[in-house]
Amino acid sequence: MYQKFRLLILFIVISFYPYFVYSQVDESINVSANYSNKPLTEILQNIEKQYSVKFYFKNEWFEKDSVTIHTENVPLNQFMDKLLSGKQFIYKEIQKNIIAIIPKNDYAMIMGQMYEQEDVTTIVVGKPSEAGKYKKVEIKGHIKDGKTGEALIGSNIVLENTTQGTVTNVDGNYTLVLAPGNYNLVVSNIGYETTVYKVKVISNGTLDMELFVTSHKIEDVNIYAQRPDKNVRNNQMSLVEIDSKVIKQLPSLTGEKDIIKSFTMMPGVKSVGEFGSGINVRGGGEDQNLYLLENAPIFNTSHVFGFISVLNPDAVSSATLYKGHIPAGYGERVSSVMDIQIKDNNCKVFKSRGGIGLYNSRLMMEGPMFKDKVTFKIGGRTSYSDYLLRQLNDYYLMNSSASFYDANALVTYKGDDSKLTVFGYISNDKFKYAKEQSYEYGNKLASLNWSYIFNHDWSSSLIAAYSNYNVNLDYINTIVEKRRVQSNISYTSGKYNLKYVGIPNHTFDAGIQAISYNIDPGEQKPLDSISLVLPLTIKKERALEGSFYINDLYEINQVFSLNLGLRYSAYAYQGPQDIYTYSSNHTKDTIYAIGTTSYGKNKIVKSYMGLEPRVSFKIQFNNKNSVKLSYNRNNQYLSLLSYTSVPTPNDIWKLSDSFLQPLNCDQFAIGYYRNFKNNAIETSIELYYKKLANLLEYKNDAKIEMNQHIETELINAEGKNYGVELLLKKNKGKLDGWISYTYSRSLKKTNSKFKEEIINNNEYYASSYDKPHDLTIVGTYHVNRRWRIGANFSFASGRPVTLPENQYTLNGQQLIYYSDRNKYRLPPYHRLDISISLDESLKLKKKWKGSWTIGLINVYGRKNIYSVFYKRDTPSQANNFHMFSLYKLYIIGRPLPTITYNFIF
Amino acid sequence: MLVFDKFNNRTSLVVSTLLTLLLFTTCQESYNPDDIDSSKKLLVVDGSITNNPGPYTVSLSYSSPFSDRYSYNFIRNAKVYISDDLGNTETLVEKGYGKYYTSKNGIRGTIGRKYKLRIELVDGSVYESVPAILNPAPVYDSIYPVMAEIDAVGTNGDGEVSVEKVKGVDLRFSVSTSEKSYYRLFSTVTTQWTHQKTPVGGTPIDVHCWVNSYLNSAIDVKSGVYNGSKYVIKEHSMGFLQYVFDNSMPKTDKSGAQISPKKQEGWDVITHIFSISPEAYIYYESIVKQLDAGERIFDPIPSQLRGNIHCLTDSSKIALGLFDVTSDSIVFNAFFWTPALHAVDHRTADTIPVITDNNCVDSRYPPFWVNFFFK
Repeated sequence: MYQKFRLLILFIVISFYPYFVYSQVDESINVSANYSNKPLTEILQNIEKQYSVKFYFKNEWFEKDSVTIHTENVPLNQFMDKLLSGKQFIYKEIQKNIIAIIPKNDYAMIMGQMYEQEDVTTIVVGKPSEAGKYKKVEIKGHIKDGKTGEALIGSNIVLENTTQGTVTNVDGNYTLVLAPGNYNLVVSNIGYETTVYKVKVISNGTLDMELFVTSHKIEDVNIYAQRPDKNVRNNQMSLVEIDSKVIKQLPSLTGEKDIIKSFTMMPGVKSVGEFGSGINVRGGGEDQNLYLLENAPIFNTSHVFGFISVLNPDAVSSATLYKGHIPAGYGERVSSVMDIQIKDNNCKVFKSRGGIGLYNSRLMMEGPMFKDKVTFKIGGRTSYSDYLLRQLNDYYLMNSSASFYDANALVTYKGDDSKLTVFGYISNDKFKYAKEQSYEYGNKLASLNWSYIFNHDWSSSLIAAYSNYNVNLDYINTIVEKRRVQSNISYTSGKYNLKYVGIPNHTFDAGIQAISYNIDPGEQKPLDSISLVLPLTIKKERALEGSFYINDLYEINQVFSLNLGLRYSAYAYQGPQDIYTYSSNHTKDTIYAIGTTSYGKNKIVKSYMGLEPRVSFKIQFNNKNSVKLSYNRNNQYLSLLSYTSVPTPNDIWKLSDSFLQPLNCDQFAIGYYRNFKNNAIETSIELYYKKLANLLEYKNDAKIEMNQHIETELINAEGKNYGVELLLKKNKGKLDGWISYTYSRSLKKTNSKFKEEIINNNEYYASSYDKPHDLTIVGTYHVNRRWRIGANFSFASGRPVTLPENQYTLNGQQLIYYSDRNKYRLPPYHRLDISISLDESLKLKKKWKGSWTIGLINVYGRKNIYSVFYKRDTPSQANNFHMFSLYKLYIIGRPLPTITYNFIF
Repeated sequence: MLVFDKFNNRTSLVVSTLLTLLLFTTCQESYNPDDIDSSKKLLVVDGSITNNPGPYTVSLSYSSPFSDRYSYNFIRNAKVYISDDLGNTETLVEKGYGKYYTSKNGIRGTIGRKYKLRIELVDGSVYESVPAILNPAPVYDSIYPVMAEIDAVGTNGDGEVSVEKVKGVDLRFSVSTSEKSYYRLFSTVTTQWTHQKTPVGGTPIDVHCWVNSYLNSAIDVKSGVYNGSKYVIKEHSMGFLQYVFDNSMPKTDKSGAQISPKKQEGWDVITHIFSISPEAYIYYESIVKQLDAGERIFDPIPSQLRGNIHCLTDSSKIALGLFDVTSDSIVFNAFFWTPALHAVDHRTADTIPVITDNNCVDSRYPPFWVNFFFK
């Protein structure tokens, strides 16, 4: 036993030898201790809990050893000297904050061995009996925080002095395929000490490693830690990953991080209006993005009409946006997939964090439930705008209400080879403006994810997901038509993924998925006995979507890699439905209906299917630059019907049916990636071209709500989006940040022969998401470890709008003649935000840590137009006619200060 | 004074929500982009032929720039023709301000016939309407009053917002037909009331006053909903007749005579029920949507109105408006409000004189007075 421990100490010392030689006990840690006749082991454990330090020793050495020690803010080495004073032990910091306590008698021996038996420093992976048996072998393992046990996502494992390496996944696991031999594995993660592991690889095996936080905290959260050269070496292109460090530095309206909105600062990602709901990726509509929160889709990502995203930033671990070459494992949408993962639960200690803002506050707690096996996380946010409204001296506002909340919970069970995660989420928004109209909408999400590792070659995940979005809209500003209109979508999915890495240089993924959609497009009810509104229910929609996929990432050599994927999706729109048949000589309109076909329950009304190939190719010239090409096709069977250019909560989800064909998109992209100055500066340029078929367009004055024959309002259009995206990013130094510029177009056209379905003479016109120029500059100056100053500037072309050009009188009514659709463009959008932040105390012993962010949004008070609308004045007795006037609405027309206090305890 | 103020739902809600949450940083202001192309002069046609005797009128004008002060750019010297499917054609005569009339004994709308309009402008361009059939005269089941009380939100003289309960009569329309029918309803109202005037040193006399208005200034179109056996329009609200309570103290006019609070009130309502074509129904619905869409801040899908007029000489030329081929049933109703009873009495009549002026007379009831219909 003793020998075993000595070997352990020896291993630790030798493993960290490069640091051992140069490191001393961290002087930045000052220890206060007040113990009287306490077991030494207990004191050491307490010190570990209070400070970011870990001790290696053998319990039996100190079993009967009690110590009295009183210190006040003394350096760690002084504390250790005092603690071990008069004892036959010495201590040595073998890596920053890792201290080995060794019997004095053994010290010389251990150190001697270190120099004499260098081979002992090497960790052997595999069975020595299998030496020489394999050409390629696979190392798998798990990287975790040495103190909390938390899986470390995005940790880099690189073979020293090579470009070869990998990154841990969301579970902290990694896989590395190597030729047998000796290597130095350099393991790193932001905020953790980089560690070098010497390994001798013989055959397939497991190697788990730990990292330890640096003595001072660089930041509170690492939402995503990237390899510094990941942009160059990653096979995936058109990828956006937002780092928490960046999100934290961005000024935001409510003072808290907004993960979804942060993506709009990256190339190719925009939003329709300032604080508009959702995002537009490479010219696609909001409904063309799949937002997955712990594998369950979110159908409305915004609170308060788009002011705040529905994600609690404290809970989120990683957020990855695929703009192009969407991996074959993902389907359902054509423009992008945003995969948002909840942070792995802290399995060692209870921890809380939160924030207090002007409009809302949040709190999150996490910790272990049953030892290290089961952990939990629970969090929530709520607004207090209702209270604020009641304080206002305005009839309408004080009688109005506006509130929201969201809550999430995650329970994780970790076994030896498996992990089970159960996730739940709920959000709710309520708006009421005096006695006008009121909204209530919310998401409900649940998912279950069971990951299982069969052996070195095979692993799998089984995912069940449920999502529901419900909206109620009450019309109360009417004499006889007070009514409630409800709509709802629910989504249930089962997915099984399988991964195989048994063939060297190949990573195979395959999976199968089944989705059930249920939509209540609308139900109308009278709100009182006077109301003349008749109850009306639009027939429910049901559909099934099934798919399977297979993908092979083939790393041909260090220069070339090929990613081949194929997804096949099949879709069935089911009864009960009554489907009109329309005259082929007219536009679809109920007055031209010539018959009805009825379908019974579960009968297939219409089915679609299609292949969705995904291909990408990478040429990596060296570890500084690479070229990537990709092609992908995606099908989408679900669309969002919107009354307006800017999404609203009561937009209605609609399934593909006999008339509305599935949207499909072919995207080609090529990119060049080049890093400079040891990855301190990264640059990229990407060009893309997208061709869309069966794009949704609306007839003039389309009626969406409570329409039993919505097909009569829709037009089938085609689209093309193209653009070039440039990114220059500085990752290191006192001043960091990025500049992104995108030139892009998003165009569509109709192809109908009927006048009601012809928009702009069947010629290409700009879609509402067409903003050719888009520039973002983000910079942060780190004054010191706690103080930083941030600024970001955005410029974008104004979005297209349809404006009134002429007026005329008919039937005694003054009417408007509009321009061609989207003929005009709003003025350019630009805005400068600044912030100054004081991060939490660097003293790790402090239990309660607070941080402040003070920001100024829209520094020079630009009145960026949110929308344009017209008003008619009231006719006077004198002239008896209306005057038309155009008006613009802007959201923040002057500099807007924000202040937020965040805390952790 | 309480001014009834009907807010636009979506605008008010969203604007105020944004306002609130941004501590009043949200705002709206006038927007005058200088690149709007308002130079087009589009032909606007407003005309109809019905089953009622003529003369029928067609008004021709050009559109004007959106932001201009209103001006009616009527079109002169055009040649305007109405013809039927039997080959009968009448040339309309211009009588000023872009109005063209058929002659009194000229073409007459006949149920079952098709009619079209042709316009030849002095610039050589020729326009025609799509031929449309004149439907049978519309039928209806009932027009009846329902007592109602609503919240009227308004502002007082100081600009303060207040809410007041308002009593009145909501007029309802019901019909069921075996064939799908499309209706346009249009009603004029003559509101009448009586108060007492007591001249200085004299005896009280009754003064009868009246004001003409529209029941509903918006275009009112409706189509039947199939209930399994018939197409039904049930309890369609045509408009609200607001009873304005007069709780004021007696006043004195210029002559020193004392004017009492209002004693009674009534309404004559003349309703035109038009049976319109499905195409016209869609067109009128578009107008309604456009009028409803103003002031909505989310940029709703624009309501672009295209009627049934086409340019024969240049297909790229756009014409606005409609030549409506429609049959018309006229219905006369009278309602009498008794303040003390908070009740309304209802009578139908074969006819009610059309009143065009607003006036008061002393001591005697005018010939059209609502009381007559209750005798």
